Amino acid sequence: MVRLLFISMLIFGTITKGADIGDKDINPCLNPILMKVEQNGVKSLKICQLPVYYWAALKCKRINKQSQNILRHDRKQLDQDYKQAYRLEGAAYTCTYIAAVAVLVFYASAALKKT
Amino acid sequence: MRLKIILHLLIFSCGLIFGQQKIEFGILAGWYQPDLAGLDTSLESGSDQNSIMRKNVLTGFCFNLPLFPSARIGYAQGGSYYSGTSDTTEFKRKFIYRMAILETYFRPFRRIELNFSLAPMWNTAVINLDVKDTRSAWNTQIGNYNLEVKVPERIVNQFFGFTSSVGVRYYFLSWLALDVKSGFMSNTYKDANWKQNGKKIPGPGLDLNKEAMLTIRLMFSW
Repeated sequence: MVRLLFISMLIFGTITKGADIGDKDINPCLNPILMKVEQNGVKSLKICQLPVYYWAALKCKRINKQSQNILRHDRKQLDQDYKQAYRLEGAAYTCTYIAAVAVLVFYASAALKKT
Repeated sequence: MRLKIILHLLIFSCGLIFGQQKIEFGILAGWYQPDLAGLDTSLESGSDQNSIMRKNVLTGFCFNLPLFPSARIGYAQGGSYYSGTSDTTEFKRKFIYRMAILETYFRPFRRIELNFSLAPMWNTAVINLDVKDTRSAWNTQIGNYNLEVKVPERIVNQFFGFTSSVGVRYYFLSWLALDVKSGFMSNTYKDANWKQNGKKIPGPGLDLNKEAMLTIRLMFSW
């Protein structure tokens, strides 16, 4: 019971800590968290701000039925991630090469053993 | 001691929650085909030997930290667990595979990522036997109660290994993805290295040395 209370307090605390920013906005679409995401992507938020972001985004959608902000932000974030990692560079290339060759050699030798 | 560990974990998780770290956490299920012939003929006889869950399925978790945009380091743990009962003994067996992962990746498409992992492993195999026993001394002292006392016995084998895999990850959302990896693991398991209370004893003959492995991970990345 004490554990349960402690965990629920921790979760509540996390959410209210995240809710510090702009909870008193009249128009939820102007919530600073939404603005921040709009500019810098979803991953610019801290994990504890994530529930607040989704809450604000849903409230915004309730007011503005056309708003597809969650999907749009997510797509934007995916684009950012893609731009950062669309190719391998430097040392990463070496590791990739070793891993791919190791797996290939293992499966080839296993197939040869069977025949 | 346990409180200390809990406190450390709590401080660590608070740091992760309130900090700006980018982390990935995942739950994994895997498939591999070890040869447990040594266990089949001795300890696990009488139990359901054809059960897939008994020896082929791995379950566990993993977490990663990005190093730079196309590489991450992490830790993964997969376990194979089995317990069974015969007339006189309760049998529990677990193999735990721990991996310190170096993973590189790139995205050929917006939602699809190809990843390549190399990981040294530190593994543990544990066999527990609870033997039911009737203690005559108790009976003579306090009357004929036919007391059944469980005598737990545990043997442990620790061995190193190496794993490598190639995987495909599909991002449903920017923070939620499904990762399918195919690869192998190579272990240095030896029958003679089992230990009981720190004393070396010979154990069951198992073939864990070269295993093909398939894992599916549900990843939450931040």
